[in-house]
Amino acid sequence: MKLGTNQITTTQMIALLSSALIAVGIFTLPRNLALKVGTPDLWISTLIGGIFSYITCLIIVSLCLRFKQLTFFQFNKLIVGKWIGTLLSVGFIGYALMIGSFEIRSMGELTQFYLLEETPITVIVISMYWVAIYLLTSGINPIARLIEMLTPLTICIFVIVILLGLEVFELDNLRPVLGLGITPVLKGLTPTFLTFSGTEFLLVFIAMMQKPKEAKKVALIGLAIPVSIYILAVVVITGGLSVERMKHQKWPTFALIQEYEYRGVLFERFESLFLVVWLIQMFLTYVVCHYVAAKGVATLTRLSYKKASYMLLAAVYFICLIPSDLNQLEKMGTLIGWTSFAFSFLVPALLLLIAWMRGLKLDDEQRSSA
Amino acid sequence: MMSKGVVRKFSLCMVVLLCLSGCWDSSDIENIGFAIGFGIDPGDDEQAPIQLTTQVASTKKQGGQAATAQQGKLFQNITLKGNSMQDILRSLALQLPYPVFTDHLETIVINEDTASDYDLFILLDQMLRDNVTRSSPAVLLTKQTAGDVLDVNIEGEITSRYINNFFENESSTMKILPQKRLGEVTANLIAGTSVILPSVTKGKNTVRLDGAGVIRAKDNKLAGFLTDNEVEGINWLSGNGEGGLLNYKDEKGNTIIYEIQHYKAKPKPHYQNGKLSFDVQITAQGWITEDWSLTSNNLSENYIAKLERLAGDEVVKIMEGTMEKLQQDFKTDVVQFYDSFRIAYPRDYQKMKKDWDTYFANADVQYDVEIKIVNTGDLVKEGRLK
Repeated sequence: MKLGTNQITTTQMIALLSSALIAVGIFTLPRNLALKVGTPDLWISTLIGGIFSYITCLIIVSLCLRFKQLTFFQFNKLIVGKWIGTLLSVGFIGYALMIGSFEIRSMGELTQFYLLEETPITVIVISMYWVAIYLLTSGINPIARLIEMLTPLTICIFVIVILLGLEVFELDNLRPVLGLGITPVLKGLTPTFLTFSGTEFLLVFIAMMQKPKEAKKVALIGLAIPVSIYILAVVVITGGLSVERMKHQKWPTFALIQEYEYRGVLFERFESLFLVVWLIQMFLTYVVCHYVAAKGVATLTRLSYKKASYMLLAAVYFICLIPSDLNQLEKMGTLIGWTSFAFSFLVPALLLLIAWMRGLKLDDEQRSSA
Repeated sequence: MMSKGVVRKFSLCMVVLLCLSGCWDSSDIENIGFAIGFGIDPGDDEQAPIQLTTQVASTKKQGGQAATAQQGKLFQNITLKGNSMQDILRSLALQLPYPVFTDHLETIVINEDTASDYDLFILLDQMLRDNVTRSSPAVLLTKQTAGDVLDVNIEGEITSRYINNFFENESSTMKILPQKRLGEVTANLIAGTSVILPSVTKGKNTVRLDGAGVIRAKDNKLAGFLTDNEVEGINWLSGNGEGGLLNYKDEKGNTIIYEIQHYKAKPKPHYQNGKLSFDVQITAQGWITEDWSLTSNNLSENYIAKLERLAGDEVVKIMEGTMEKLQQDFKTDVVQFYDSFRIAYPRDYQKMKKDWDTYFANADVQYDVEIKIVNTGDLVKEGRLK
C-alpha cells in the first residue's frame, strides 16, 4: 500500500491492538493480582479477564461496523445527539491523554529506578515525547507500519526472557488449583480487567481499516496475543517467586528476571534486554494513545491533526507530572482502569443499544445518497 | 555547492549530537568498585552493633602494572562498623575513592552471633530494597567471623566467588545443600516458613562448606547448626539435592558406595482429627561405584536385591537422625513439608500456617524407601571364596 494513505491493513491492526494492550501492566499486574487473589490461581483470573475483554471487543466491533468509516468521535453524535456526543468525545480524548501520560510516567519512573538513577525524570520523559511527535505528525500510516515492524520483535523477546525464568520455576508454587474455591479468582478479575484497557481504541481504529469486515478477526487475534503473554508471565512468575513473594515485590516481573543467571551464553543477565524491549512497547502504546487524542481534537475542532498533536504534547507533559509519587501514580492507574471500563464496555454497549433501538445504520448506499 | 539551508540543518544536527554524547549516569568502569561479597558480623559496641566486611574486586591497575603490593590478591576487604547496612556502605566512601556497586554481589556470609541476635529480614532489608542488588547472591552462615572467612586468600580467586562456586558441585555429594539465593530466602521470610542456610568455615588457607544453619520461622533467628551428615538427611527428605553418594556397609561390614543418579522425595501428608502425619516416599536410581566385598557375585539378582534393601535401611536411618534433630531440638520445618501439606489441605493450611513449625514438630513420620541399582560398573566379581 502507498505511503500517506489513511488506511491500515488487518495485520497492522492486529499488531496495533496487541501493542496497545501490552504496556505497564506487565510490571504491575502480577503484584496487584497476587494481592487480590492470594492463591496460586492468578492465571485463571487472567484468562477469565481476557475472555471478558473479548466480549467487550465484540460489542465495540459490531457498533463500529454499523457506522462504516466513521470514528467514535463522528458517530456518537449520530446516536446520542450533538451535546452528549461532544461530551463523550471530550471524555474519550481526556481518557486517551491520561492513559498516554500514565504510560510515559511509569516508563520514566522505572527507567529512573533501574537504569538512570541520576537523570531527571523530565529528561527521560521529554526525549520520549520528541521521538513520538516526530512519528505522530505524519499520521496513522507510519505509526501502523512501525508498530507492525516492532511488535513481533518485542513479543518474541518478551516471551524468551520470560521463558528463561523457567530456570527457577517450581510447579509446587502453582498448586493447588482452586484450593480455596472460586472466590479468590473472582476477586482477581478487577485488576485483570483494568490491565486490559486499550481495547476501546478500536472505536477509532476500525474506521481506518482497509477491510472492516475482518475486525472480528482482529479483535480475536489482537487480544489473544497479549492475553497469552500475560498468562505466560503470570504463570512463570508465580512458579518462580511464589504468590507470597509476589505480594511483597514492587515489580515481580523484574524480580523474576533478577532471580536467574545464565553463564556461558551471550547474555548472563537479561534485565537490560527486557527493559529495552519494554521501553519500545511503552513507546508504541503511548503513540497510539496520543494519536487517538489528536484525532479526536482534530475532529471536534477546526484544528488540523498536525497542530492538534503538537498542542496535546504540552497537555500530556503536564498530566504526566501530576502524580507526585508512586502511590499517586498507582491511584491514577486505578482511575484509568475504571474509566477504561466505562469506555470499553458501558459506553459502547449503551450506544449499541440505542443505535439498535433507533435502527441507526450507515452503510455505503446511505452514504452515497446522503 | 550546498545551499544555505542544508548547511544550517547540518550544523544543527551536529550541535544536537553534542548532547547525545553526555550521559547523566555514565561512570567509567575503571572508576567503579564492584562489591562481590558481604560478611556480616556483630560490632562490639552499642552505637555500632553491625560490622560489615565488603569484598571489593580489584579492577584498578596502578601505574600501568597490576597491583603488586599483595601478590596474587584479586580483592580488597574493607571492614566497617555501623548501625545500618546502608550507612556502612556509604561510609565506604571515606575509605575507597571510587563508588561501590553491588550489582555483581555473589555471596553474603552471616556470622552465627549476628544471626541469633537479629531477625534475618532486618539484615537483608537493605539488599532487598536496593535497586541494583540482584536476588541471585547466595546466603550462607558461618560459626567464625564472617570477615575472616572472606579474608582467606586463595591464589587467583576471589573468596566470595570461590564460595559461591561450591554449589556447582551439588551433584557430586549429598552433603552440599542447594544454593540458597537471596530471593529464595526472601520468599521463605515472607511466607513465614523456616529456612536452612549452608554454612561455611575457613581452614588455614582454605574455605569449605560445612553443614548448615537453621533459621526458625518464629523470629527469623538462628536455631542451631546441622552437621554434614545431617545435611545429607535434609537432602534426602526435601528431595532438593542433585544426587551424590550413599555410603553404607553390607552385613559383613564391607563398605559399599552407591551413587545416586536421581532420586525423588514425596512427603504425603495425612491430617485427621487434628492429628498430622507424613508418609515420606523416597525412590532413587543409581549405580554401585565401589564395593569392598571380595566374595560376592555382583551379577546375581539376589545380591543386588540385598544391596538395595540395605541401602534403603541406611537412608531411613539417615533421615530419622535428621528428623529427630529437626523435630525435637529445633522444632522447625526446613524440609518443605509445608508445601505438600499446603497443596493437599489448602484450607487447613491457612489456619495452621502461623504455628506450622509446632505442628511439624509433633507430626508422625513414616518412611518408605525404594532404592534401585541399575548398574554395578565395569568390574565383575564372580563371588569365589578365598
